[in-house]
Amino acid sequence: MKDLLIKCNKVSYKKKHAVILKDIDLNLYSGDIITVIGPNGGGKTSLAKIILGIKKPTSGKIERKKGLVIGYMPQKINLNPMVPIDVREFLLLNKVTADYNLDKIMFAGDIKHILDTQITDLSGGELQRVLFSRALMGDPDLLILDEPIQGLDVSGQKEFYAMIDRVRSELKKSIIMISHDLYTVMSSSDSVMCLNQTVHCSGKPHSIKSEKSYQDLFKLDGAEVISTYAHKHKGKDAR
Amino acid sequence: MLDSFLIYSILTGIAIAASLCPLGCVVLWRKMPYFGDAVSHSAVLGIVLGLMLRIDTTIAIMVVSVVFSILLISMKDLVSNVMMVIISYSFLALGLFLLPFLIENTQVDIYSYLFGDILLVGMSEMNVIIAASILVLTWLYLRWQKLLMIAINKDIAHVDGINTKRVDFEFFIITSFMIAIAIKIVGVMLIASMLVVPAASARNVSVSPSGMLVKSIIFGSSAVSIGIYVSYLIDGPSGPSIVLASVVLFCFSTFLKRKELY
Repeated sequence: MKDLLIKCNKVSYKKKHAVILKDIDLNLYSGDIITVIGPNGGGKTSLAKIILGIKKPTSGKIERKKGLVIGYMPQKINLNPMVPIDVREFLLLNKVTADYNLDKIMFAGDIKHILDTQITDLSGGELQRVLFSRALMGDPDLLILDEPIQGLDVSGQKEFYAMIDRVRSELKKSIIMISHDLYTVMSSSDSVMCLNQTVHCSGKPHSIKSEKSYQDLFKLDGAEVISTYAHKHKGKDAR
Repeated sequence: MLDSFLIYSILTGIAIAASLCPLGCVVLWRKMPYFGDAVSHSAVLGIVLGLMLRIDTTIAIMVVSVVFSILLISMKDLVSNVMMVIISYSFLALGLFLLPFLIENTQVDIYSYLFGDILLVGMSEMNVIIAASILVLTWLYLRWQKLLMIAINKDIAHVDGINTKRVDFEFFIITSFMIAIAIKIVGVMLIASMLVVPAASARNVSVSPSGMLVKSIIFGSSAVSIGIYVSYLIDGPSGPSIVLASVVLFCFSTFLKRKELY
């Protein structure tokens, strides 16, 4: 029996007069991975922040399962170089996580060797691993990852996806992942949601790529429609 | 042999440094180096209003600073430096605008507030400042992790259940409060430098937040001690020599720094 963790009912979000999100319905069950894709400015991050409770919807309702713990990995962390802090202190920097055993999260993050490195000295990939590990601390039921592979090179992206897969299979976490990256959408999600103000389409990864609205949506991003069709090897990757 | 007033001055200066410099670290972490300038500019309105209404200027400065903080916190984007400058200069201008009305009534040397004089500090003022410093350090201790998390990433802090607005508000009030207390001594013109320069020097040579805090106090109290002693020797103004001393220490710290920051 799967629990319903998040239920969005006609959630809308306006900023001044601009409509960011309109009538979003979303049900997330435990163990599911939902990938939210869409063009820049399509409201992906706003939706994540509404689910997290950072922003309140201007209309509509969002229900979270009682006692739901969410781990959050923000889009790109604008690190302030004025704060001198190493990875270990950063990870332990909160009441929620302070009594958590660091070893427990190592397997996913693979960050043991950089614990004493200054945060400002980390490479992009290392920083993503650290942020991901921190999101996992406190043993959340749900992980929200906002563009987790942004700025990583191909091998870095592969490493990151492998990490997400391990978290999914070994820790049984639910994940909401925000991405432009269509390869991830195809290979590891239970369902995909195409978002541009409204939900253009949603469904299983393999069925969605043939939908007209999905193709149209990515024409907004110009060349990205090409990359959609460059990845036809879904059959080989299927688990 | 050092005179007793010189010892009072130096102890008072160290107490100010012990509270202002750690607050300055937080100011840098929050990327709002103009905050000190903004509060001290708006304090001019407090000084003028205090003299006009014949109430204690320190209290008047505090009231105006609190109003300033509330205005700032009601802005959507808290660290909007543009809004900060606009509000601070409207307060400053209003204060200066009201100045002629004041001069008709009283004989006050407004310039002593602009530049301050730590050499005139007495025993009772010293006690007030030491008490205020203890209060500020206690608050920093209680909010330490939250302040750091908000500085590193506000969204994560929010998800972790930190009431970011409340911590921001407390920070603004506490900093305004401390500036209001210290302004008589360091002066409106130079107080912001006491906030930022020792913290920036400390950043150059620190690898941990608590290390930066301790080192900012060391840089700040050294600057105060050297500055006061030099101004005593040359019989000059204390505010500028304290600031110059802390700038010299900053230059020194850049030779020791581990990476390019500024």
